[in-house]
Amino acid sequence: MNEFLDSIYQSPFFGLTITTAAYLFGVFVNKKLKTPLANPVVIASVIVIAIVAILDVPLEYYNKGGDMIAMLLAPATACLAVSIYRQREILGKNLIPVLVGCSAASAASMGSVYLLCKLLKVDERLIVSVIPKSVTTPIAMGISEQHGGIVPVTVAAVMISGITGAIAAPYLIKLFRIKNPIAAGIGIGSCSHALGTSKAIEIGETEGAMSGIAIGISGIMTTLFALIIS
Amino acid sequence: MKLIKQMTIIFAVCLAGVILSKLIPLPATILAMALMLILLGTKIVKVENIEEASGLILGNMAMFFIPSNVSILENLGYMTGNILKLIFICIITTVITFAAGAYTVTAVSALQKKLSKKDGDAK
Repeated sequence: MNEFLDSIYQSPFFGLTITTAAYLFGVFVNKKLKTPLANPVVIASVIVIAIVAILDVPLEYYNKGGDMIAMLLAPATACLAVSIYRQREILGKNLIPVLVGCSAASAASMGSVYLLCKLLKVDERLIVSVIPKSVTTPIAMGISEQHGGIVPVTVAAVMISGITGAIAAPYLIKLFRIKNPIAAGIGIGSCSHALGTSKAIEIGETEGAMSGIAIGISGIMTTLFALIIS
Repeated sequence: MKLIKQMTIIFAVCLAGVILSKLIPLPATILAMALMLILLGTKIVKVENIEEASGLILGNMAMFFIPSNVSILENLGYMTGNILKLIFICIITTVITFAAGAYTVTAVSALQKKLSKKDGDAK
């Protein structure tokens, strides 16, 4: 029986099916509840984690299917260029505010992480791991590795930031009374990278495009700042 | 067929990004995005040529993050004792970062408008 189950769990279709099905369910719940709090990704992730944990499936088995889905993040990031390109006129007129905004967000992210970590007495190595939390996963992992951080912790921090941004985006825009869609987009993208951008795209084309740009520029600025600081 | 043509372009750009990342110290995905921008800007690739495929991918991008979230579960051990602190820090700093980015853009944008108005008056 165990061998039978084992071979099932090792099939890429196991990971593929539970992930896509969970996502569909998450979207369904989100449509019914109509609140950003019912984030499809969070719901789906919880379901998948629950299934994997309850059935005691080793992560590497799940990843045979999971990796195929995760792989699509690369083409998705590349395709952000399409939405950026569509917004190129607006970007051209606002290039300086965008560049300065991304740099400020980068600095604020790293600075606030450092201060809070010190205040809460977080271990040095964990601090290094969490500092790049606002940039997209591959860049964050790169920075973390480069400076001696624990990469899986970095990934967790990036995911939490992304989920926070994706859920909170509409509320944050209201809370801080951000009327400028460019500002909103830059805000979302520089704090919650591609996960937040997927929400930004829902909010508006400009927001979505600016969010995508923010991913790139914030990523570069954070890498540079990290080099300078070390 | 159309979809396959579009995916080929997108995959090729991603591959180019991987190649470029060996030469330039930036992650492959960011380089792929930059390259795609250049290709679109120089009209080597026309938007219509990848419209549907990219729309499909971008529309469902959130789903691609699920496997990463699942892997966090495996690595909770690294964070024992600090999980709540880290979650708290991540959430608060995300809000701070958003505010910093959004306000700075708004401020610099307003400044830009003021400066260009001054020039306009002087003329």
